[in-house]
Amino acid sequence: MIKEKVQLKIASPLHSPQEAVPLIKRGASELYCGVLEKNTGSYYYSGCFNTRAVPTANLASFEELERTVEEAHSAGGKVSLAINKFYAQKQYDQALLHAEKGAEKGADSLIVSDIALMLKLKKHGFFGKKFYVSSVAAVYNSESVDFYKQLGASRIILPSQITLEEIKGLKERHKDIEFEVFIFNNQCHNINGFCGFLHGIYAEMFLPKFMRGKGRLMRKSFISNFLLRGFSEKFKNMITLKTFGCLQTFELRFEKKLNAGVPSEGRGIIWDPGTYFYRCGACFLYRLKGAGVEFVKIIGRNRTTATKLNDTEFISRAAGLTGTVGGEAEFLEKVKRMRIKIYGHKKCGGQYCYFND
Amino acid sequence: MKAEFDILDRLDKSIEKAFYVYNPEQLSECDERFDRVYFGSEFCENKIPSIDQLDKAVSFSESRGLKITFVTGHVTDIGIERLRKISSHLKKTGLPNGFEVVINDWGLLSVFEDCGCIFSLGRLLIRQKTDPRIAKANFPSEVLSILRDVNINDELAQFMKERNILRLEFDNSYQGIEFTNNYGFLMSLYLPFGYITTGRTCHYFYLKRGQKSGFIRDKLCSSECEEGSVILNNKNFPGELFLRGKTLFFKNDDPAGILKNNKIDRVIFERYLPV
Repeated sequence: MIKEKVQLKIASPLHSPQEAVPLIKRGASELYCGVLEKNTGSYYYSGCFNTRAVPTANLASFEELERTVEEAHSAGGKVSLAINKFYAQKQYDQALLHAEKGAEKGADSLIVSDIALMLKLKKHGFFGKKFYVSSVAAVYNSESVDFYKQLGASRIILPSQITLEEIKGLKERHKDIEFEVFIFNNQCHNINGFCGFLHGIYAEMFLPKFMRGKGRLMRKSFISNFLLRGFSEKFKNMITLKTFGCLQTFELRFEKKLNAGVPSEGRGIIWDPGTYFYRCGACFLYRLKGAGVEFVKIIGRNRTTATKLNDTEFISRAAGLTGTVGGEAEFLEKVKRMRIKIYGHKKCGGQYCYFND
Repeated sequence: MKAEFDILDRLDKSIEKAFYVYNPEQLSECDERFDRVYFGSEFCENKIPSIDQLDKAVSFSESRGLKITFVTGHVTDIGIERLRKISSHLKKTGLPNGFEVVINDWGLLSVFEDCGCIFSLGRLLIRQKTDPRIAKANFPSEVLSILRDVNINDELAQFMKERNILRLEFDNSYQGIEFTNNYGFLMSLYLPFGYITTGRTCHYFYLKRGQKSGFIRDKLCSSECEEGSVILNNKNFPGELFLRGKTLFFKNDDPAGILKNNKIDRVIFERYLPV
């Protein structure tokens, strides 16, 4: 059993005020969300201020944020607002306004990735809120942690492509700042903060012309938002495969011929799509807690409410086990059994493990 | 994958030309057309040059009267320690003529600032949108303008200038670059390869074994990236893509649009795909 000097807390995703209380009851300490107002822009690339530029992943207004905060606070939880894109020069004033509105509506913290926005927010004292460095900022080393501490960060959300040893090393050197680590659902092969792909571009390439352009896509997205909320995870995942540049099927040709018996040409998807949807690090909660990590993050703002509740309950119960079991072996046995009971045998082990590397 | 030199013939003579390599042995191809050497690794900390390799590159540059830029990437604490040794070495030996450091990780500012060198903000921190599919998409002008823009504002410009970051580095993206204000920064352009995305897994390692990629395999490196690249084709992209090690690149050897609309004063010629 690990001594309870650090309690492992859970940050869960949210896209509707109605999810706040149930998620906290299932074990979330903090909820993170974004706001995509219908009137902030006619187009989601320019009108959205967080990395999930689809209505299905966002609250629809700051009034919804206010309600979310009220609900969360009433249940003893906190709310973080994601403003974690990299912006164009002409967007910084709007991004600042977005942060100010979020602060006014009671968000407890702001999740930011763009250093230019951080510096702007610092001038305004972060509107009296805590400032977390988003995983999109891609912090992998101690010097970067120091860099962001000097800008006023109180938490670093580490990118998903990081090893347990590296997490331990960072925590050992920086006991005065909180760390948050990805634990469940998506993990991309590429580093989000260094990726130039546009996820939503598919619509711009293949939709009929009358459906593209100013004003139309937002309406379309609003309709799709309404429709997709009723659809299964499987259907949403299918759309994701069509949209992501990295998940396209490519004709491959090795520049130099490989050894005899190994084909030098082929066709396929390079990055494994399954890992976008099923990644899990529950078996490592014991070690993460031992390393002193304060928060673990569940991914999936646009997932269905039922999925979010299920995921939060699983991770919460698994995190709870770390304080009650006799040792890591017992923890692993119990957490694997728990996972299979909730999710079945599929998608567990090897390629679906966050910290397998 | 090798790029042809003829791309350089189309450039104005006033533009400084840099030859970019990560291995000093490749410098044998750097001829009189070039004014500067770019040396180092942007995408993999396993390819951070040794002090010996750096000395070789410096010595080559000095013997030809060329200036030198040391290129760094995004790193873990292991990479920080390797680069700290290089920084200490530079402090001891003194900076070569016209020495600069390209930073692609904010943590590296503190590692190199004691050297007194000039910094350039690398393409990993410029965060250009480089999805080649933008060339085929039908964005309205409002969105294109945002996709061309750069994430620098008054506060960041001041912050960078106070820390001796005087130059910005760009890829030759299909949609171009459009500054509202460039704050007087000098600008470089990488040609002909632009990076699209990068991670911590050597995809070449997995592809040649016919396996699905893992996530963090940089600890098990046996320099597969040295063997070559993989060429990718898909009809949704305007041209071939190239995968070397952990990084995916596009190739755009027509810089006319970007050169016309921006004050690019340096072109960094990539004879080989960077690592």
